[in-house]
Amino acid sequence: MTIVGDMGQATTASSSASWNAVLEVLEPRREPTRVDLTVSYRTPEEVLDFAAPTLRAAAPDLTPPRPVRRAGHLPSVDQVSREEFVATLAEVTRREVDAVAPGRVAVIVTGERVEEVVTILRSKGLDAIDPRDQESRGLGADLIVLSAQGANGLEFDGVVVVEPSQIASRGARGASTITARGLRTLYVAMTRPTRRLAIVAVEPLPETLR
Amino acid sequence: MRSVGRRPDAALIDEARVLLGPLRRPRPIAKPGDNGILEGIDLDAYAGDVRAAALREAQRNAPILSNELDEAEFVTYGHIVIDEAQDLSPMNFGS
Repeated sequence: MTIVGDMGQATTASSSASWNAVLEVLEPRREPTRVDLTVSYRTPEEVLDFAAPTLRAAAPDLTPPRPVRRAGHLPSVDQVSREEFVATLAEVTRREVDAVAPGRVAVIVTGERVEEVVTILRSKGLDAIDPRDQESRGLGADLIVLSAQGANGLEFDGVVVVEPSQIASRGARGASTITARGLRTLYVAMTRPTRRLAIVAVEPLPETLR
Repeated sequence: MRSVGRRPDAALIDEARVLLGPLRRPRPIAKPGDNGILEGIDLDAYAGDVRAAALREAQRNAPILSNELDEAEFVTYGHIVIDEAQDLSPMNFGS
């Protein structure tokens, strides 16, 4: 049996949190062989560099993965006022869709804001869908809006992460408190693209993105 | 270029395969007499590889020849990979 995972992407509340904890439960009869996978085949160097401080804060013991590709495009950050948010989100999303066409773009937000963001993008003439919608083309659509906790294991050509601070506060009791689990969720969200990453925020960015 | 597939972790699995080395396959356990092929043959007369090959052949044919299918003979996996295991709780693993 082979068990594969990235503790830097552990985003469920009940995660085992360490491989030693997993082995304690499994009690394998044979001594297990542990190997560390250190290469990122998917995420380009520019995106991994951008996400590295978040990984360091979320999982200090982990060695960041080594990229094998370069995208030729640095992640963009748009921090705007509340009034500018809708226009900026639509503009950035359209730019990303055009840049990767005919590829796929995901806009990643907190779970509570999926519906709101779908509505915003559609009102601006973008064909955004919620892949959970039964009538939709699901994850195969060109532009989808995804909750950060639903993004594990997926990949897209371009990703727009909305309000990273809200994603990073996941599991916090009080509002806008950054948590380790939230930072790992944000790390997952930011490392979904194979080509381009964009950030759009009204709230101040988490320190790891400044 | 459009991404193909949703879980394109083939490269990672490939790397794990190389790092972990060849699989130690569990030897199939054929039960002479269950399968209609080895009936009446003294397996002990054959040694080593031939015996093993005969057992494997019996194993392959067993589900076709036997009417009473032993479920255990069907449920033979080459290898199990659990992906995204970071999100499983100890309880998930325990059950």
